[in-house]
Amino acid sequence: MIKLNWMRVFQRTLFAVVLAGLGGGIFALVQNSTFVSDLSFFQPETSDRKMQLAVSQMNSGPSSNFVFVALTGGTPEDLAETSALVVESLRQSDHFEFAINGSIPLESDELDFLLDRYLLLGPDIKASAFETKNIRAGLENALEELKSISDQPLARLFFRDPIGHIAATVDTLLVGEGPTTYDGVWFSDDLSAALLVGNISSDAISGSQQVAALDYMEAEFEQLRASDDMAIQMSGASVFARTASSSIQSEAMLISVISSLILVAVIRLAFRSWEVVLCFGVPLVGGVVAGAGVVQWLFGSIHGIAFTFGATLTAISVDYPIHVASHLDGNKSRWRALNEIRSPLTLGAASTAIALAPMSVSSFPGLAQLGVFAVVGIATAAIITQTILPTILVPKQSTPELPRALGRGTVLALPTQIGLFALAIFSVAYLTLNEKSVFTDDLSRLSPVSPELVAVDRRLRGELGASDVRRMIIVEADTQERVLRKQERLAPRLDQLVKSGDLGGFRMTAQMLPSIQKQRSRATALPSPEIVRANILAALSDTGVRPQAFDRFLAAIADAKSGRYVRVADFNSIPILHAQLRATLFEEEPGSWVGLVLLNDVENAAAIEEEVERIQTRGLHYIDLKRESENLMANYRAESLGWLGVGVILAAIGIFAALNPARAFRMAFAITIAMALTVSVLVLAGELLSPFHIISLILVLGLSLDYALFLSRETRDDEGRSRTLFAVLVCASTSVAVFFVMSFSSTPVLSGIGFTVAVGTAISLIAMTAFFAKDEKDRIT
Amino acid sequence: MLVRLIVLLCVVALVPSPTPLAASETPWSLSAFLDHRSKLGEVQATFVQEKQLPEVEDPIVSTGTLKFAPPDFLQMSVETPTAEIFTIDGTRASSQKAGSDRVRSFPVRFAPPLEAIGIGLKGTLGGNLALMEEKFTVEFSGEKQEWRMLLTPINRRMKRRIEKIELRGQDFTLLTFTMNEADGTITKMSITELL
Repeated sequence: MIKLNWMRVFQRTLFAVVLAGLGGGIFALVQNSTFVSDLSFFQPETSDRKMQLAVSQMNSGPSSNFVFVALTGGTPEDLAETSALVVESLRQSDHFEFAINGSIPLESDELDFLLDRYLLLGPDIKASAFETKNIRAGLENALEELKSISDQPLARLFFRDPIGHIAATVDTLLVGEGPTTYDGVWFSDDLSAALLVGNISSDAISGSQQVAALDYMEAEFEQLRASDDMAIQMSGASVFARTASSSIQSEAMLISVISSLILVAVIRLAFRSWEVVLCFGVPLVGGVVAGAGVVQWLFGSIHGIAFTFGATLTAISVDYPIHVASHLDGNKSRWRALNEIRSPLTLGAASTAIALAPMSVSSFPGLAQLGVFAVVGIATAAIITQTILPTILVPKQSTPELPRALGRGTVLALPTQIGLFALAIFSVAYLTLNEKSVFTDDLSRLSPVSPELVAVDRRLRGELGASDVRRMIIVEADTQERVLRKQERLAPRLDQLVKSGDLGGFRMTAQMLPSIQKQRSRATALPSPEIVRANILAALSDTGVRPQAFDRFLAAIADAKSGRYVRVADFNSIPILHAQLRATLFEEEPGSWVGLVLLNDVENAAAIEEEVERIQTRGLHYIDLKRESENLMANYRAESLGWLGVGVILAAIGIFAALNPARAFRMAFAITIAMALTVSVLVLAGELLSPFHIISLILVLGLSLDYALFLSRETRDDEGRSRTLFAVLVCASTSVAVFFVMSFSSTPVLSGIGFTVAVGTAISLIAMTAFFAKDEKDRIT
Repeated sequence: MLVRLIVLLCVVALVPSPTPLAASETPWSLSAFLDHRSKLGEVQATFVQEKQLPEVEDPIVSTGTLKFAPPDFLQMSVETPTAEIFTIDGTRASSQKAGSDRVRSFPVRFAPPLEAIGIGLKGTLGGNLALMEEKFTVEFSGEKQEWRMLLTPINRRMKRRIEKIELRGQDFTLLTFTMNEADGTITKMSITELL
């Protein structure tokens, strides 16, 4: 007869229920969470307007959807042919809003719209353009051209535009002189590469949609290229993002597989049970699900960075089940075993949560999310460890052997303590005396984009004459008209800077589409159609040209003077021009219009900034995106360090309240030494501390606190101490191994975190063991 | 007497024999015409082109020679009013004015009227129906003594610029090429093929 072990059945059932609950939690999280992955993580909620504009430009600036493309490896003719075919295909695809390669491919009705309204558009028109002698000179030139047997579309255009204004208007769509052209297609100066620009559809908000657009372009190129030798090079923010995300994804996958294997192997080796391995995942997964769920509920979305680092900080809780399992044996009840370590476990979790809690009220929503995530995650994991885990965990029978041998190593505790203290003093003094910089706010140092790709980007932008996306002037007003007027007031100042060589060129919407005010004054200044007709008739004598040839030009003058002015909406019928206008003039929110002035070849940034400040008009901002992003990082770092400082003080107060002051002081002393040594090692190894490193240091702080609390706790006998040492050793081994693997990542953020935590945990283990492993005098009060 | 006989025989031999009997002749059709043209090889001709622009009273008259080499090469050497060599070789066109080193080279599809002229002349002179049918429908009518071929664009781009092309000829010879553009421009070319 089979004898049922009801306890075992209950255990298994509960375990199954817990796993099902976690599975359900993960499913609910995936179903209901909105993940965000832009720079808003670092964006403070209340800040000056300039910084808000900078951040919104970094997230969705005029060039954030641009893909700069070079086609190489063929004859210029083949390259031009392929470029034309690729652009044609992109234009017909929904993936791209527009694509340009030099020729502005206007359909005849679109061209008609421009030719009917162009007198109100583009740069100022000189009155002399309408004089008989100038029209006659242009006409003679055009007639000579028309004698050629080959097609002369520009010569024919003369009859619609005898003052040559349309070309000047189209030029305003380009910044600077524009690239070299061959076969009407943009080329690099040496004709080795055909250049084009695609603008990914603004509907493609998510990374995967952008990747789909890039993949589409590559596939079309493969199919349309004139020869197999031809290759495509792409650049731009979306390309960087794709490279970064694909390299992060593939590497993160590899790293997580290796780390998980190591983690499982260490736990399996230490506890000799697969069931234990599975049980250990419960508090961690429970913590992550709870943390993410609460963030989603409170903030309405989860930032990708908050999720990643929230989960990383919650990973501290892997240690909790290790401590519990290490103290289980067949002779005492699991609840009794738990009670023995409940104090250090609770105190460790509580003080880490307290240290992170102030971050939750940060003005940076990303930081606040991280704070909430980590506090909820750690608290949940600690609660699960103390409630559910003991029930589902199988007791361990034997006493661990390993730590006994290691325990002997701690006999030299005092000399080690002195040595560590001296080393900490020495390294901090060294760093201070040599004025080593410890922090960095330069995001590009953390960029996973290879220097080669950055070089390609710089070259392509240079050859395309694309604007310097780092610096721009932002013009704000409550209406579109006021933005254009402000730009018109700004233009002469910038012209001066171009003349003085401080600036290569600039592009603003008002150059193409003047304000209504300016259009009105231009219309008034235009000569009447009757005067122009008389001038034309005088210019036509003996040429054989019919006067009616200029009827549409005269109609355009009459139309310009009719009081019907051109607005952005009028360009709806010309998608390619409309998209270009909308990229630099848009309504950010009702009643708030933003116009961008793009700058190229900035020689003297300070002069431009000074000039903009001198104008003293409200709603005019000179923005250096790199500087603003560094300011943003510096503010972020200052605030995260500030909140962390508050948190550490609160946690320290808690610990001093919970423990006797001598022991608490000793713990604080040991942890300070460990942290000072960790920072010193990082800086000496060439790591500058970014905000991501700081988050990693919080994790190290939490781990050292845990080690200190456990190692210094009261134990009745050698076995108890041996089990504690064993637990700490397993905890530290898993952390060091997992983060050491991560430090080999080619992604700077990941390798930085990996290195910081691996080094920090190793140093903490050495320091805490040296200070507390042999300590039996102090007791938890 | 013998000498007279020999001379007579020679004279008879020199006189071109009449065309084969009507019974064995292929009936007149587009395919018969194009089939014959496709076997002729290189063609040389003189041309006179009158281009009537809607904006100008008098047509612009150009004269010169024309050369077609199968399958895809067409060159027009203009002598008046301005000396110029204009070539369409495959998908590329180029033009060079006399006395200038500068060759303007571009894909011929950038200039639909020139592309249409190229297709019409190359398709007819080389007997290449496939080339014409890529962008036009081809209608052929008339008799051998006076035939007419009408090309109507089917390609969207071509349709916007070109209304129709009409080619006329006699026997296997092309005599005139007339192209009407959507903006009212009419290009009429008289062609004299050289033996």
